[in-house]
Amino acid sequence: MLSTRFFKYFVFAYLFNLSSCLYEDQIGKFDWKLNYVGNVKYGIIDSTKRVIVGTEENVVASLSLKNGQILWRQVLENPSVNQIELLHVDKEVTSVSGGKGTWYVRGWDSSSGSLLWEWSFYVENKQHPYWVLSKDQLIHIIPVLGSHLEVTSYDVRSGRNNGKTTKISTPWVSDLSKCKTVGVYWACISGDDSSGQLYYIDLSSATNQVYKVAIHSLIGNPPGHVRLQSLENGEENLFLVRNNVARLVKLQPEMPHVYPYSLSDKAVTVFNGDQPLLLQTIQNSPSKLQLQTIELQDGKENVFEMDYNNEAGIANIISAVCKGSACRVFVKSNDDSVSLLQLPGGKVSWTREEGLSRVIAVEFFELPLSELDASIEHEFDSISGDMLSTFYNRIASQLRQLLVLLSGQQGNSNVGMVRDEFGLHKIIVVVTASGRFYGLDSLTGNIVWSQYLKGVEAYSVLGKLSIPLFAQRSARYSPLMAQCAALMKDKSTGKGVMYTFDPITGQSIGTVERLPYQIEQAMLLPYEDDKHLKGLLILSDKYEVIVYPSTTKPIMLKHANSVFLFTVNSNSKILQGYNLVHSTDNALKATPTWTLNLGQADVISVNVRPSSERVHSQGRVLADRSVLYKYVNPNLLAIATLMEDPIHKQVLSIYLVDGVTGLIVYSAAHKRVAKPIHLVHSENWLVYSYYNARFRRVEFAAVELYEGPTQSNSTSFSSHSVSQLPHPENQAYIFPGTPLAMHATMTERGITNKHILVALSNGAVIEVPWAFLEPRGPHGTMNMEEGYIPYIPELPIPPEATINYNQSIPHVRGIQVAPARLESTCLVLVYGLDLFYTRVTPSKTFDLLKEDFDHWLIAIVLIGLTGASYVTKRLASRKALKQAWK
Amino acid sequence: MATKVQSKRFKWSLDSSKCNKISSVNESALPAPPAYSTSGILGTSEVAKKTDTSHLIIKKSWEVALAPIKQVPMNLFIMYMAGNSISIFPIMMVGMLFMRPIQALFQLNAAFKSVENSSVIGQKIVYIFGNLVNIGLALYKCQSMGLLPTHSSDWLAFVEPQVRQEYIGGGIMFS
Repeated sequence: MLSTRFFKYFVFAYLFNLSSCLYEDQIGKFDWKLNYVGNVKYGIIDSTKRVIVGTEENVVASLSLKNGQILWRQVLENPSVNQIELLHVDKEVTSVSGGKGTWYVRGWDSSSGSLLWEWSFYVENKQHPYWVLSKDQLIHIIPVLGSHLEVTSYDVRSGRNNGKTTKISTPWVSDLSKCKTVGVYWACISGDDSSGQLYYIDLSSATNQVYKVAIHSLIGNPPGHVRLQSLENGEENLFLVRNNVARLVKLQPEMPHVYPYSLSDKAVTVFNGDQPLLLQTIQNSPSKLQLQTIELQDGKENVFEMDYNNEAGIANIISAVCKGSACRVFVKSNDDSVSLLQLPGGKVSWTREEGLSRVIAVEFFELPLSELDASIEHEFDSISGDMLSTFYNRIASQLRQLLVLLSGQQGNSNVGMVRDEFGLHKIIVVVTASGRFYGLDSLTGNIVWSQYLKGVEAYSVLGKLSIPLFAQRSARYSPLMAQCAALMKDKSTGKGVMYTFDPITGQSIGTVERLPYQIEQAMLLPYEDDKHLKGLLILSDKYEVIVYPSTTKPIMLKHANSVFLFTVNSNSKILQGYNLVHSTDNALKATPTWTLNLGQADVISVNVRPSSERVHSQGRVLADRSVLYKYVNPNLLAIATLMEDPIHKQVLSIYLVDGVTGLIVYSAAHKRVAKPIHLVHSENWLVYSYYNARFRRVEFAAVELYEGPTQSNSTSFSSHSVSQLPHPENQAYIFPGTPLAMHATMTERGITNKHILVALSNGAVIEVPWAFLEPRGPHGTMNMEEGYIPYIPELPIPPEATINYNQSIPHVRGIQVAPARLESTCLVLVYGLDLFYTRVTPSKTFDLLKEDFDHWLIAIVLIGLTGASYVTKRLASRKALKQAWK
Repeated sequence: MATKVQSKRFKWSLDSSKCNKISSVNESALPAPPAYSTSGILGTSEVAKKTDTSHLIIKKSWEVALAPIKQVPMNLFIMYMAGNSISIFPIMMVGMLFMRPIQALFQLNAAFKSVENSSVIGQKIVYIFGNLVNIGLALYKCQSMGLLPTHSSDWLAFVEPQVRQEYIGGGIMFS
């Protein structure tokens, strides 16, 4: 028994070794990684060398003021639950992060980023607390509306508290949005306008004195809505904002001091030595930026004007430091990028594209051919095939080639954004949550172009932001530009916005189209018009069907009976299928054909096979050498739902539904299951992962569909011709890790084996061969000769299967793959807090010579052998001649 | 020439059938030895002389014709000994099994060249049949080794993917 177990592990290890490995000198050769810190929430310039930032990705990091590079970075817990709530920089950096009642207090060394101390505590009250750090005391404040404050203070280093919670009576607290912490004070206003009161409590004193001032006595009595706003690093200062004019109020015992300046609510206070300064941006024109400084004591104003090229515009100044007249201003832009501005020179020292830490859509695009290659391609384009002109074309293009060869420019052609031989060089179009589009060079990770769209918002699909991208035309049709369309919604009206652009150059094609309707769903038509453009079919909220661009409408009408659409309503939990058969020349019409009610269950995921995927092998060879044909239904939808259940807690249901007819091909249910749930749908199989709450482990389940020993129709597949339901095979495995994202590899022709890329919570991205997950069913009779791997319940995670070797990728959100033109190779982009790009070769590089292939040796041996054979031939003839004379 | 041969024969041979003195005297006096017949000797030697070459030719041609069939038991034994595993020696054996009858079929006329002057159609048919039997044996061997593409799985690589008749698009509603 032991020996067979050992044998099985040996087989696993052997197969994994086959799959992928990287030598030390190959690090960074095929892959790149871009590190980010996330959307900056807190930024404190610590010294002249660095700025300490705390971000929405739950990251504490230090950036160099000189060049913006990350000096150190500490990635904390999952940002969807835990957030940094307090970042304080003194001798050391103190961070308070957490959520849902669990809080972590940590101290970091500000120069190295090493953890100095850490403690955590749990409070029953899940209400969002306020934090104040004063004299090594961390004060935790939980307000109870209309009643009192619960104030507990802890020693910030040890977590020791004096064992009691003070209650301060605050019957005037009615709305927490009107309360802020201001330095050591906790301040609130009551009422919406000038007639209200400003209350503030000094938390540093033992008595917790409550002060009360009428607002009109501070900022007068004109009409208008008044709100309270705190300043970043504002010490005891706060803003009272009325009609977008902010007044700076310095809190102090008894009577606060009001400064007589009218400010914008985005101003910050800066210390120039001991001299407090106010810093604000006055005007945000697209290319010019004005920064105004006001000295608080004497009101001396200074205005600096500088060039600032960012169409997104500055959102706010995060922090600044001044020394004499020189200031360094750390600003954040609306696209989440952060920059350091230098005053009075008015120069942007550096910019970090932190928006790329929140990527929501990725698409790979092929690059166009180089001019030379394109001219050769065009040779065969001419329809007038008379011999003379073809001959002329051939000679001309060969001459051009010769010229290029002679002038030695060939090396340069690879440098530009042109297609390479193996299709490994692509452009990756990336859309961020902040609404900026980037084009990344897949070889280096450099930003080729970027484009920011104003006033648009991403769609929210199952709680995730999404901007769908549609590749309407590839760069293959050389004089015609590649074209990609993105759909978004207008920030104010919620109506659809369509942005079409050339993915290679980032140039917008036409204008950003504001559509007069909301977009419910969209699909890319499979048919190209005479300009090789695929139409985009949009279903509006009024269930109208619009095809964009209109030139593709005739083609769409021609094929109206073969195009189907489905929608999943995640609120009403209803799936609906439509056909377009009843469309006329005047109006396209989507007719509902089927509905599927999911009842009370929440939709977790809907997965359709990528339309570009090709399945090379149509069946599986069994041990008796017969074939079990695959059920490769391109219209199959995989749906995962999770339902609350009184007995089984949560029940996961998996459905495979034919999207054309609404036929449920397969369904399965798993009891006592929890999130995270991920689906991978490819070829004729589905792999899903879930957390088994009963055994407390993550499990993978694989389902494979087979048509049977004969194919009902070997030439074409139609969803309407169902003779019998496919035969499913399934199997489950224990997975010793927590997957964050899963994706199957994809290659050009589908000959290469499939691997499943799994991003784990520990920062690794591993490859799991599909052969390990393949359900053996009754056919897998443990016959090693037929290539079956014996079933063992626990999937191994060998370290060699990690494609990102020692470069951890925290908080992975997704994985996107694209085929290279080399059949063996699949390009992968993993996006999360960082971006990681690499290539994987699931069946090894069978179509490529190894890097260490000895061309020289082979050439020398061949030439040597040929030469030797000629010499010996000559010698032999001479000998024969001599012998004849004897 | 004939007389010369005749004289030579007279010099060395004793023709007992000839009527010379002794024999004529003794013929009536002495009975012939048992199983001796004067007419018989004459008759048989006459026959042997006449049919000798054609008989040999026919015999030889049948030998040639039956050679492939005689090889069958040998081949069967080789096949049995080679086993069904796919490795270099069984493959070589199978190659030999194929090559020899095919070569023999191509060299059909050369094989019967020595007996060209008589009609050997029957023998040729037998010869071809024998070689076909050998080829059949080789095929059977291939079959039992699994080298013949007789299963549907052997043609799987040539099965084209099904052309899809419908296209589907859509997903979760944007909101």
